[in-house]
Amino acid sequence: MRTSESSDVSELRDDQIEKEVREAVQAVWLRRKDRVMSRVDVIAIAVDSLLDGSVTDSSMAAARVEAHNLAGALGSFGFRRGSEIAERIEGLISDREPAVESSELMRELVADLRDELS
Amino acid sequence: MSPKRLLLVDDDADIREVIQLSIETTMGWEVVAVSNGSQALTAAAGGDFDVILLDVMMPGLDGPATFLRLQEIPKATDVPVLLLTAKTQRADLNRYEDLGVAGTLQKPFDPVTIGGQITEALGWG
Repeated sequence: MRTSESSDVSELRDDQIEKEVREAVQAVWLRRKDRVMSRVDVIAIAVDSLLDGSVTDSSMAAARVEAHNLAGALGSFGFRRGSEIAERIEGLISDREPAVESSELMRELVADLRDELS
Repeated sequence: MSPKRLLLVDDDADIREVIQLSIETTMGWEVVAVSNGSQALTAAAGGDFDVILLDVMMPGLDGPATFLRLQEIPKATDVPVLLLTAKTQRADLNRYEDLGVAGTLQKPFDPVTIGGQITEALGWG
């Protein structure tokens, strides 16, 4: 029946397009993964400096930017949980003076983020 | 019928690449991608775009500021603008709507469906 066949063809084409997009995004991820992990490093360095008392405003500002960018991007690469973790980190970093407990939590979250992306 | 032209403005190179390949593959549209508000103003003044996808948080001219400047460009005044917002910025959605943007899309987005989200937000068949 033509309607059913048209629907099947359309569905097949949609599946093919989805596959093409997912494969292309995966290729982008593989190419950009090192740069993404460098962003996580920026956050990790800021968190470590927060814990040892050597943190600067600029390092925290940089960490917040990277956490924000990761929160917005990772889900699009298929790492939805990665986006959620980065969003949590961004929220904690946004506190003007994060408590020590928050800093420890941030360190744990950074480790979770690395595990999620590896 | 010529394909639609989308101007993409985002300072994140990863996002630009994913959106561009997604839209070109799923919608067959032409995508022009720039990395900041100033480049967006230049591109909008010189090109005929059907839609502008504009990130909210960018250094220098942010999304809302870029949108307001776009309204001063004759070729861009009637071009619908969609803002790309992060979850943490949802509280600002009312403010964005008051600016006069056509809508907002949330990050992170699904690269397979973002084209459909754009057409739905703009009421395009």
